[in-house]
Amino acid sequence: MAEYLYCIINRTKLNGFPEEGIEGGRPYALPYHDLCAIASEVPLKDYEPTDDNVARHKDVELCLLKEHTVLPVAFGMVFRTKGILVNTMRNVYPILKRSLRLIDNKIELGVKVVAPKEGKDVKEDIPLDTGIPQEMTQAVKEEDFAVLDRIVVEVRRGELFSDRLLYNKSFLVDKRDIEKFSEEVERLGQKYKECKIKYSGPWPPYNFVDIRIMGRRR
Amino acid sequence: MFVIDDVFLLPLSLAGFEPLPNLIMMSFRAVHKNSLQELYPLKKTQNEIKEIALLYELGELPREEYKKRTSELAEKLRIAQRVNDINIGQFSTGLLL
Repeated sequence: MAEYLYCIINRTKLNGFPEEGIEGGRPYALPYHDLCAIASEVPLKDYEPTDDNVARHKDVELCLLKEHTVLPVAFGMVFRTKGILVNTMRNVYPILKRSLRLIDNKIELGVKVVAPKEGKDVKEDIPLDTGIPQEMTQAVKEEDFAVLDRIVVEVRRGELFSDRLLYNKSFLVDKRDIEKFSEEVERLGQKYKECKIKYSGPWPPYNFVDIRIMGRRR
Repeated sequence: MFVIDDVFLLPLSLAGFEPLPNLIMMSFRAVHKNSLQELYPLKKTQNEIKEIALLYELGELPREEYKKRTSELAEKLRIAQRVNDINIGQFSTGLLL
């Protein structure tokens, strides 16, 4: 059996521990100094990012996110033995510590604005500098969306992967500011009634850290 | 392929231009890879998967349709990733670099 790695958290009393992970394995905490790797035993193979596998990976992280700062690890990291996993943590310990400090008490929230199903393709008018369609900026001040940027610690612009997707950003938010941020999103939702606003989270900061430490990965 | 390998390129090989046949074969592989990439575009397929997931989450796509299209696109993505990984080869000497 091998070890599938989900995430890294600070070593502390574990509350709300997840019961089931990839391949039905029970997640456990593998300590190294003041950190813990959250892993579960799995057969040694490459794991396809199927809906089910990705959901299980996410569920473990989300369960821990309620009580801990979670440093997410990319899907599909499998280590042959616990010893190799501990050794890897030893090698990247300073990076893990620095990353955990950066995201301490912070979570990721996502906001997408989707154009109505019917009607004119407004995406053509998107100015490159703002990521907000001109029609929207003409009808409503760009400042409306910029208010979100001012609340948060960091912002990542997501790709506009659909013709109907007008705005796609991920925000690294201090847990104390979640309510304020949510209120602003709700206010924007009221203002942009013609569009659908998809507000998602809280997530581990997937878009703000990218941990891919050794192991097997597709 | 026999004509290209053994007849067309023979004078070049005899004249000591070994890397040239390699270069020509690399060009063929590159053209082949480009054709496959047009058939199975990686980025476009990835975006299609994200788009149908978004539409499903917004309630605009029924579960059955979402499942069906996800399954089709997953297969297309698998092929696109394999096409993307095709190694078109490298120059065998530094002569043409």
